[in-house]
Amino acid sequence: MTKCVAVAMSGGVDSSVTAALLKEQGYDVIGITLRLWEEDPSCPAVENVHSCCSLSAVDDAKAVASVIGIPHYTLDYRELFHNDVIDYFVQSYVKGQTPNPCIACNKCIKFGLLWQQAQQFGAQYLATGHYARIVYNEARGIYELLRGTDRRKDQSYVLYQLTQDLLPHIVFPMAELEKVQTRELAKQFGLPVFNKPESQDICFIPDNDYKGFLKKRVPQCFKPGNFVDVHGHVVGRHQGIPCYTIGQRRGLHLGGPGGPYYVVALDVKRNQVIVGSETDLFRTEVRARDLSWVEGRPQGTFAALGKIRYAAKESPCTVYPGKDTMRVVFDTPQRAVTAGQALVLYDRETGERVLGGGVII
Amino acid sequence: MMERIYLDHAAATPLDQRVLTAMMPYLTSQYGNPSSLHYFGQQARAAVQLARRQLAHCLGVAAGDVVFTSGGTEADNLAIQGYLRANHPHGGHLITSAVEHQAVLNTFRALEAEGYSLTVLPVDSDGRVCPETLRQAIRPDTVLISIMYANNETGTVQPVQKLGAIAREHDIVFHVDAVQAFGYLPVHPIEDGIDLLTVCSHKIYGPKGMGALYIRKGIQLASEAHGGPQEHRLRAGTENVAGIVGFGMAAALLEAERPERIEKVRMLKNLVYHEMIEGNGILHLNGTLSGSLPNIIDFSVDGMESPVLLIALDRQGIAVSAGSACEAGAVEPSHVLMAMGTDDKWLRSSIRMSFGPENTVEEVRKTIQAIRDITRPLRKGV
Repeated sequence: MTKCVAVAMSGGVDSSVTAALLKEQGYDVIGITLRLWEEDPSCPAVENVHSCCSLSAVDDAKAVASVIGIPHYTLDYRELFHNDVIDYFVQSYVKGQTPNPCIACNKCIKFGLLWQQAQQFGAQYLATGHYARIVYNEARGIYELLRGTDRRKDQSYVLYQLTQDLLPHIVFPMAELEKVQTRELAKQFGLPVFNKPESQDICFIPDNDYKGFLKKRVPQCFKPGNFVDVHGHVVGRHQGIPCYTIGQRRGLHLGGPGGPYYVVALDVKRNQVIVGSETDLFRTEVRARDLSWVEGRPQGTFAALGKIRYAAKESPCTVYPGKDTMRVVFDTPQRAVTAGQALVLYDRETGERVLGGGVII
Repeated sequence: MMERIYLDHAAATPLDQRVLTAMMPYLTSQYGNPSSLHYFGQQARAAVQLARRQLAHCLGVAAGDVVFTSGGTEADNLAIQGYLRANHPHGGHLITSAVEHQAVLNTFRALEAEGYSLTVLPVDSDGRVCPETLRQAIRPDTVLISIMYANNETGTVQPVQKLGAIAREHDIVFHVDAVQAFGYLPVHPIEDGIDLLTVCSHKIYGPKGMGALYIRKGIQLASEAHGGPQEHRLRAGTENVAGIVGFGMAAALLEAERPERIEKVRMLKNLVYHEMIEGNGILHLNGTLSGSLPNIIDFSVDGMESPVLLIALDRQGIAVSAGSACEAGAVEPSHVLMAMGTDDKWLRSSIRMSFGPENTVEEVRKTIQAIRDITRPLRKGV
């Protein structure tokens, strides 16, 4: 029996090539595109922006599927996506945190309901266009989640919630490809999306105006308040907490002798934005909640490399896992540790293996 | 190559070989424009008129009262908008039902937005409009009633004659979308008290892109498009001659063969009901078994959303439908099932099978077995 794999196709280059490669490798491939959010017809930018999961993305995925010669279906996940990703995104800002919606989407949507339904319709594997590798380590008897070979594209950070029960069923054909190779393959396969631009940061905000997006949904959170320095002195007025993120310098419009000012903390209770100098941004100790472990729960303290956001460089640290939270102490201070972002741990020796992670408190 | 089983005739039927044969000359050597005066034009004109007579005969109406359109949707629009533009351009009260096809429902919604007053009648748990409800909804300013003959999702048949009689009593024009009913019920608008009736070709083994509207003598409609005087000045543009010929032939064959087709599909439908749905705790029949078209059966599966079962069946070469509202392949909860007050757990999991006389008992048994296998994991907990 040929192995049946469901491919999550966003209509973009990576997932299109994923489907084509698997078909070439002899898999029985089913293309699936998820409808995740409702386009806002009042948003003029949408037309010119290539964003995943919109209606034109569905058309692109269908066109690719017909070129490859695989069946393609669209599943309507708008309700689930709204509850588990968009609401979470909005509520994080309400709480003064900076969320990573892709991580929530991977957990609840792609490797959540999609995998569950893919099994129901007969798939043994689920593939995505993520740049990461999965390797079975025979000696250790476990599946390892490794960084993608293309370091600039590596997406292992957003996959830290994958676990041993899932990994045997996941396929990442982009594992060892460079992005330029992917585009070249797309051309060779004759896929009509080969020159499609990279997708946006946040797929459901195609115009990138996340403040406008939040203002529409939680206008009550855009209450002006005080900028307060680390000594408790009021130094100016802010536009509402969701407008700011930790480490931000631009757009504060704060002059004065104490500057330049950086956002160092958000105090939702007092509706205050705490500002300080760049040195106030550095911390060595970070706590995280909602822990997830790729290779199983660790036994006691261990050394690792920690990464505090998608674009941050991983850095040596010591991990003190607790019951529901963990304490991570970095060897060198980390800049702009931000609540709501994920703290992802890699093995200390090679920095290749994802060990797990959690959400920064 | 996988043997495929097609159980989605309510979406589109195959094209009958005899229909194709009748159409072929008009796709090849008989290419004249029916409006031309020469030999070629006359050949085409004669073919169109023959097809009109064939369809009219099947409906029991005069050929002059039938207008060909590009499909059911255009015929619905011509009936509803055409009637209102010609007779009540400044507003009035309109009545329809909650289970209509989008072609009717969305036309009425658009008219409502323009200022017409609209009543959408509720249905009972089988999906039927109660004639008394219609009577109570009628107002002095009611100008048009549109209720479908039979529903495209559940197959539920409306009490059209009773509804028509009420419309007639109040001297209100009555439009009926009979697109689904036409293939499996003797649709006779004159006897049924229907003033405007929509039918279409690709549900009765004819080609796609063809529909027709029956217009009772004396009713004035306004044309939708400006142009030439074709189709009694109601549908400008050169006729789709091959399509019209095909539709006419399909109607003629339907008239001759309808009783045996009904018998065949009814047997398949009963097989599915008695062998699969009846007494099965995780399956639920939507609508009624006997008060519906003999070729449509609609059911829901507890614990499996319809697209999932649809994909699983498609993998095995079995084509069914998941509800009817389809937007880029994504399935909204069916407005028909919602109007019937269907329990939430059945709402997102409806599957429609619609048969044709070419389906076999063996195909249906294979399908039943496939559904049993796919839903087996769900039954463990029951």
